[in-house]
Amino acid sequence: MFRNKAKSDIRITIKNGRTIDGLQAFLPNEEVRGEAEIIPENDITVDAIRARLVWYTQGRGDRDMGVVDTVTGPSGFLTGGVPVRMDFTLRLPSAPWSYAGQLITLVWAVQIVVDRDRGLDYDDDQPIIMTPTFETLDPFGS
Amino acid sequence: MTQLQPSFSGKSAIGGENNTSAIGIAIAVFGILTCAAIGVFTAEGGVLIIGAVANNTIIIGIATAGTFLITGLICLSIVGVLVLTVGSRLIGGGLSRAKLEAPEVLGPERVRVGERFNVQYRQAVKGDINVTGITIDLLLREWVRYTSGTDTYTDVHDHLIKRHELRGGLFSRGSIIPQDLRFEIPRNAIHTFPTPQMLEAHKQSEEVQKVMRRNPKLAERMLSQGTLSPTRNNRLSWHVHVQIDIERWPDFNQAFEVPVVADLYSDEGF
Repeated sequence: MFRNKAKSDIRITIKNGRTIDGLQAFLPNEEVRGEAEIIPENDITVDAIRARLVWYTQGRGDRDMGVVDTVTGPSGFLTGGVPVRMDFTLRLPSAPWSYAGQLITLVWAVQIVVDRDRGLDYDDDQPIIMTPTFETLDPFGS
Repeated sequence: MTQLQPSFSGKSAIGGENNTSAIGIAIAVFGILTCAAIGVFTAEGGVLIIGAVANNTIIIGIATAGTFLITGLICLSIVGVLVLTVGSRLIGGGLSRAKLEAPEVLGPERVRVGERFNVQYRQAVKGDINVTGITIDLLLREWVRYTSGTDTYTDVHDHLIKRHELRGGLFSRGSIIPQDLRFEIPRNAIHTFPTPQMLEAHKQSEEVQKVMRRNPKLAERMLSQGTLSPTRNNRLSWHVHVQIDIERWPDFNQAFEVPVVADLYSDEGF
């Protein structure tokens, strides 16, 4: 969903959780801790860099989404090519759980948004899994 | 135990298609045949087909008759298709209800993921019927809404989790069709989406508050219809779907929603 709109390299590292299918998995209500590194291609001024915990749907239906937690990081002038780091701790709610079905996939992600004072924002996201069982997300073999 | 709320009627979308009832097909075939007959015999040239074999005007006659025939066929084919689709649901559903009272379905107020639960089904019979089979399914329904151009479409997919196939029998007027069934929400399944907490939290959101300030009545209506829901395009819901096959009569189909909460079952309780 959230494609990097270029002009800035965003790397997101999740530091806790268990690994399922190459993604970090968490229990409901757990904390997600991590770090983001943003390397702007050119000099830019940002209102804020934000780390957000979001869920969204993929599949046949039009997209639904929700933002459940946000942490605001550095703001001001960023020099092109110079990395900016931001730690974040975000809290998952009790629901919705991650799901992969026939028509609907429910995705959780940590999203980093570089909120520029003018022009398009930059963003990128790192999908995670939220499940109470750490079992497969496709119980129906669809 | 509480009365489960009816959710959808008609056959579920397992396998991706809906069947039509025998009565709908019979009415449609009758409609098409009638239309063909009307098309032939009301046509001016129709008489010529029968009587004017040696006449030069026979070609015009056949053409005229053919036009009327095709027009009639098309018109009544449309009617036939309408009867097939709408009739099987409305007429068939209504007819099945002429033999059966509305069912009383008792189930849990809420179920956790991984939890077993009982469903008590009671349905009074209005007239003598031969029930050839009763199928009671536990389904997880995926419902989506999507736009293509300026049109909006919906689609559903039902996951069959558990099926109880039960023997029918002869039921006389005044008797009760009783079924006591046990189901389980799989431990690796999903809760109902959206959850009640998500809906409640969304009421405090800026989007809803903005509509509330502008037009409170409209906001209430949109909330009740789900168009202001945080999941207006994607929903997951659990249903107990009942199908009663009645000999020489439309089937009875009805689903009842089972609310599944975002909580994993453990022996410790809620």
